[in-house]
Amino acid sequence: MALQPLDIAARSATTTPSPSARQGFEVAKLIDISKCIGCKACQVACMEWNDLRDEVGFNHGVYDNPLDLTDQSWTVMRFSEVEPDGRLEWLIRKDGCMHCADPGCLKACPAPGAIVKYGNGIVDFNQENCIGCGYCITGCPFNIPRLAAKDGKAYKCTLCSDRVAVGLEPACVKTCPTGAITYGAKDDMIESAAIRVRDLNDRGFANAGLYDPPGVGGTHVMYVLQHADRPELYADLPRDPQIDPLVSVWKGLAKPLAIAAFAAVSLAGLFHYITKGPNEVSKETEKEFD
Amino acid sequence: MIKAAGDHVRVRSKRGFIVAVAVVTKRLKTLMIEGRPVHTVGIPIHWGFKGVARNGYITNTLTPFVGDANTQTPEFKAFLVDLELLPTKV
Repeated sequence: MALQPLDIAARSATTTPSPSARQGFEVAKLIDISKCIGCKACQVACMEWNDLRDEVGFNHGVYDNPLDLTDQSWTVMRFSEVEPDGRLEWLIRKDGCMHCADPGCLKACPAPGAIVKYGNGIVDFNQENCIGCGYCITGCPFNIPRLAAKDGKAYKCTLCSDRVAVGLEPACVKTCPTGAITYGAKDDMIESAAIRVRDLNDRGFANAGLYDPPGVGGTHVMYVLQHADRPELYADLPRDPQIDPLVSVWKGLAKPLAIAAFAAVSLAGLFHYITKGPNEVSKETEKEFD
Repeated sequence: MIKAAGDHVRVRSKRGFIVAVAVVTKRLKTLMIEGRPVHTVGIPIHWGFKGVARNGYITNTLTPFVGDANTQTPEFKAFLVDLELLPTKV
């Protein structure tokens, strides 16, 4: 919505090629979980910038507030108390859209132009084209989009595409007080993650690493994890996220078959009409009814 | 005694009681004092009977009414309370 049509790299339910004259670079947000203090300033900044106000919730006995993503809460901190090496650790993961290079939501979406992927890697929902079917939720390997009860449309993090389009960083990055969230060119972010991972290795986290899952072609929101060998410690972060095979079957294999069947039936009907002519009521039948 | 996070509990001191939702954590370890385990209860004070968020019992119900003359602030940083599980949500 905020970027120009020239910057669209992929569009849902569209077969015409995307414009490719302009060469840009891919951006990424790097979330260093080892630096996060769980202050939720990113949640506040997200609501402020995007003019969202979620309902005041209840205390469920955990720090997560709200308990889950909603159409009004596009990012939530997920707090996990774990003891991976017999030592208590409080892991706090900022959950939200990962902006996959191969987005399952876009693949599953049947509404033309409701989901677009920009040249810089941001996956964005255009709610004016959304038909509210919720297939994006099925397609998402991270379970991120949420349907709004108010208008029946799907919402999720936009990586502040409106801010990024005018050269600003996303709101959560701007506000993060510890510098746990950084933003820049994806190559630069991978480089700075590598420096941080080396640092964590020196500090006793032998399995620290970058979370940029290849199962979805890499993501444009990446995590630095202290325990990259066990991503499930971080509130069930998927180890190897994949787009649901049913989505691939439905959108890949079944779609051309359905189109072929539809075309065959139409052609058969036309052929029957030409060779046999239209259905006519015979004189005998007409008499019977009289 | 407290089974799970989210249980409603009554926190009682000599001066009164409040009802609150329990956040059960391993981050505050049980203290061993003269061979007896003593648990630590932390209660935020940042709500009251009115406000934009949910209302709650006022923590000052529990606290001793004692001021620190040197710092000119309340003295009640730590005191003894008892905790009991409430069978139903209040």
